[in-house]
Amino acid sequence: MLKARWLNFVLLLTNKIYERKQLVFKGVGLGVVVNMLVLISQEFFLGIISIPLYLGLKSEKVTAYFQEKGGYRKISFDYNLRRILTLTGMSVVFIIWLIKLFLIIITPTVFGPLQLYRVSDLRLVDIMESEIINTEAQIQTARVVDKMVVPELTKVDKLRGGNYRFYGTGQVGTTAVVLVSDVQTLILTNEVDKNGEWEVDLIRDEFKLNAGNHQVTVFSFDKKQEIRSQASSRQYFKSITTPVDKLVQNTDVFINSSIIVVIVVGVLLTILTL
Amino acid sequence: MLDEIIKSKEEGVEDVVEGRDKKIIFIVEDDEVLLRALYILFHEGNYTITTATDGQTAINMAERLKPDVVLLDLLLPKVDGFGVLKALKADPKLKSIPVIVLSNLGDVDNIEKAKKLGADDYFVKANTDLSVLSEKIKKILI
Repeated sequence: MLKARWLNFVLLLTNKIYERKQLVFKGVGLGVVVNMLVLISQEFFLGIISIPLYLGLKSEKVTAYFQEKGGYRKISFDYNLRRILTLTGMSVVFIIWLIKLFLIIITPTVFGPLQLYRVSDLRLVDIMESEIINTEAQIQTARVVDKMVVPELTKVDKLRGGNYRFYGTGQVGTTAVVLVSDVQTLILTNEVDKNGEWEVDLIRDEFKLNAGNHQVTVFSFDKKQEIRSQASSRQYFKSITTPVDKLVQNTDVFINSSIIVVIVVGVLLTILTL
Repeated sequence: MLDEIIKSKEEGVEDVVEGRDKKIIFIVEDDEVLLRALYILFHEGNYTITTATDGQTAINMAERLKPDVVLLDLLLPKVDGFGVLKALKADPKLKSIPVIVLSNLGDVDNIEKAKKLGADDYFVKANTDLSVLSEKIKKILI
């Protein structure tokens, strides 16, 4: 049953490839390029799916007579392309896995036991960071003044690399303070410019925002007088992790899993050909 | 080992004919992957499977092989499937051999043309369930 489904799938895919080739021959301009890319993807996929058709036949069981392919350039091209794509794809994954395995085994014997957690780059706080820490301390201990203008959060943008940028308006000459809730509350600050606008960035390297809903509140802080406004009403935004984000974040897991998937599929398909 | 099989030429037909103790399915298909898929589909049965990847070789082999059934693709190098069908049905010794067409061509004109030339059945690759095709071939070979 499984074998019949697999063979049906091979048949369906070869037909799709045939149809795509017709589109390549009939097409013009960019369409040809797109169809070529789709065709190569289909060939690659068929190559993976039909690995046993290249590797699984046993000569002692075969009573088949194939015409020598040398005379048919097109067939030879198709066949070799599939074979090259399949074996290259398999080899790349396998080599990456072997290198990782080699490093896991060899590294402890050369450098001793692995130190999975290690404190490094411990240094004194520089002036810039010291100022930031002092400012944050001042913000938290500042007196609340009702008359101060409460700033407003107007927009949140997701930037490339999973970073965020918050935009808003406030009183000129003050500091806009943005509190973002997550596992811990994050404090972001920036000066309100001469147009009464401000923007602050949340850089992922410094603080990774989890996917889900986050509460944001904003208030103004006056450094000189060490006073701050009332907090704005609570606003919420949703941090969404896209499939691409997940792929980038989990590349290592993906590579490790892919070799297992390839081996399992290969073994399964080879069993089907016995 | 696989390359040796691929390089085997039609001279091997005599070996099959001499030692003939099973029914012969003759598959004519130019797509290597599909050819091997069809081989896997049928090789478990008590059949001898012979194959050709172009029309001219198929005609030459069929004359000597006299298979019990032919599974024929239409888009083939050298001589197309219609040419093979015409040649088989024109030969008094071969015309009774059932020919099943398995092709990418799914339009009515080609199906009618193949049937007029003597195809016993016609399967379009995109719509074909191989288990149905397999049952059809087995029924013919009973």
